[in-house]
Amino acid sequence: MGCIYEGVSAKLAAGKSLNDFVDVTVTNEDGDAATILKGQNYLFEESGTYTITYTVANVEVSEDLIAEHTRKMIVAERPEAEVILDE
Amino acid sequence: MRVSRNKKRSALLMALLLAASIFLSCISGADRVQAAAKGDYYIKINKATNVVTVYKNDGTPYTAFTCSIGHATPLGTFYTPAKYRWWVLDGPCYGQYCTRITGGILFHSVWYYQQTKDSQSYVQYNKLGTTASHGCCRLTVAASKWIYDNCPTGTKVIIFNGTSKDDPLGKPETIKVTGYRGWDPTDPDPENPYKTKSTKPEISVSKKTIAYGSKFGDGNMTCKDSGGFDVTDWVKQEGKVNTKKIGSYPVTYSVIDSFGRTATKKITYKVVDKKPATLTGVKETLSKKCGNTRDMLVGLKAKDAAGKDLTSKIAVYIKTPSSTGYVKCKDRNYTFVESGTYAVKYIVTNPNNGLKTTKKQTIKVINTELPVFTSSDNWKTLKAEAGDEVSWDVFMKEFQRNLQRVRV
Repeated sequence: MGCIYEGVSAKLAAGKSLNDFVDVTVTNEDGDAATILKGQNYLFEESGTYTITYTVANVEVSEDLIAEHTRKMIVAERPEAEVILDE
Repeated sequence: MRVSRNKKRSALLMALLLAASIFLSCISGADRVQAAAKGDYYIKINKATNVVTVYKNDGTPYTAFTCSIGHATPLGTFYTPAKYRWWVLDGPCYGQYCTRITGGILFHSVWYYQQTKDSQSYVQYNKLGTTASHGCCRLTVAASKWIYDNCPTGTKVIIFNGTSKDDPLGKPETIKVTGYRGWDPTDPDPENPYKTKSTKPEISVSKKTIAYGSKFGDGNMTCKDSGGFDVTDWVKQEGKVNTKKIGSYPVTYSVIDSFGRTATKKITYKVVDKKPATLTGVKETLSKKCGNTRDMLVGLKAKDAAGKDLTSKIAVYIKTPSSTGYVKCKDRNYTFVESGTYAVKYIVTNPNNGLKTTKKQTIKVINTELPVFTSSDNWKTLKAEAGDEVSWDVFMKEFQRNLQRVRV
């Protein structure tokens, strides 16, 4: 099963992969959106529910031929580090 | 007494007739053949058509000759009384192979200026088939010799005015000669410069295979008679060739030339398809969408010259936008997976002759479809913790596992 791609993939019906052209947009609960391109990172500073939008265009023909898909992302508070005193 | 006196008169009459006969033979200088039998044939002369037809005694038409008779030729039934190898005719002029019909009416060759074989009047020879004589029945030397040789004195001759329907064997063609005088071209004499001694009519066929749909007959068969004259038009053909149907056709050619010599040639013609198959319905250019599957033979029609359907024998070769050569399609249905220009060749081979027909086509394939997203985790909700910094790669790969790795 290791050869099967795990994760998100984007391709044309004819089979050509468009993965490298996918934009990922992160939108927080306030509606603020940030787009991450390949090679970039996004820092989740706050907890909350985010919307992750994957967008890709048919680069062979037209930038107007766009497909997108969204999914939810829940960012939890990071548990505070437990301080253990060494008595 | 009366009887005795009559006998004396009869004897005197017979003596006079004998003397007259001897006298006529002397002044003619010709071979005179006495009547002996009626022979195996009778002869009819159609005055209106200038045709002599020889019949067997049972009424079967045997052979025919083209002649020249005259307006003075009498109608009636006669029995040939005499023959002459040469005979002095009006003019004076001379005729060969003469057979007297009645009175001064004879069968004879076209006349000669002298009693020499190289002095025949060519002007008169070329009139054979038309009314031209002073009453005799002029013939070629070959024809007059045939009567001379085959019809003994006493042969019945009927002269009548009929139509071409009364000539059961038709009116034989006659060759035309050039010049003023010379040998009768049908004279079988070995000295005849037309060299007819041992020759026969010769039928020649230039080709035995006939292209389907072509016109059959033009120039394919030629015939020369014993004298080397073109008598192609005289040849009779038995059997037909249907050039609209492929197959074998036996044909027999036969000819009787003016020497009475015959030739027969049997040929089996083959009507064959010599052309490449026709291939229709190929559009020069087409547009398709990426991912389309097309029946590559739809709308196409291939057939041979006879109309036999060869559509199933069309081979399709495709060169994709990214390839450098053509590849033969194994299936008539083809899916265009690349955008760009496809080059297509349709080739059909005519099984009748191996000739190929090729038609080319260009198919422009464009991609008009939206990309498709898939997710191996079926778009499950992602989970992270505040402070996680997630890269584009992690969003695209199996999220949770890769996030853990990032944290580590």
